[in-house]
Amino acid sequence: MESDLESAVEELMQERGVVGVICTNQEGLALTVDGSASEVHAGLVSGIAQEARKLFPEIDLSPIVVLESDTCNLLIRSHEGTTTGVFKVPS
Amino acid sequence: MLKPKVLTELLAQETTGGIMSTILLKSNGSLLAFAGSGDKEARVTAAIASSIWTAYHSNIKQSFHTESLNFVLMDCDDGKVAITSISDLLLCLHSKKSVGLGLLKTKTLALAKYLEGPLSELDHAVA
Repeated sequence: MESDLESAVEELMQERGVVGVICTNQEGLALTVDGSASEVHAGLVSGIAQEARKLFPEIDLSPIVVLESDTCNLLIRSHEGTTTGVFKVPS
Repeated sequence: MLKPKVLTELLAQETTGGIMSTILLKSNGSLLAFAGSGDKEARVTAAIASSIWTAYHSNIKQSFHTESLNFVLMDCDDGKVAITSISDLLLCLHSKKSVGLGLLKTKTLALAKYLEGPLSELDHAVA
């Protein structure tokens, strides 16, 4: 059941600069975590995606949120009830 | 008619990817079917799950101002537990710590939805 999700996350982890991946459901509960991502990030990632969506109510697709810090960037996007957060080291 | 072998096979399908045991139990805590770790351990888990469900179910009106308890998720030191009801029975999944709560909930609900039809028919036949 979860093998497709896990293989997609493993594939994503192979991408250059990716150090962590987290997928959550609509309730902010973690579906899968890998690398530097932790289950404690689940609620925050899901919450950020939901709040960002309120800024663009007119579009169907949810926006991509990018949080940048000196050491790591976090990209967040929701799709069909699942929110994905990708932790990347800045290039 | 309930086919125990098929039921156990169905539960075994869910007992993958960090799920240690999948247990179907009566609301009084007695074991109906299970897949996963040892028989003795499953009986103990079933009894504890039933006890927790009953405790929340009997106090839910005062605590949450609602009539029905739908789901219990527990994050313990050594693993995670999900409990939900299917007609008059309880379904309990016990997983490793590494399994996400969201995945555990999704798997539990998927199995509960699949079993709901056949088990409610059985319930009507017995009643």
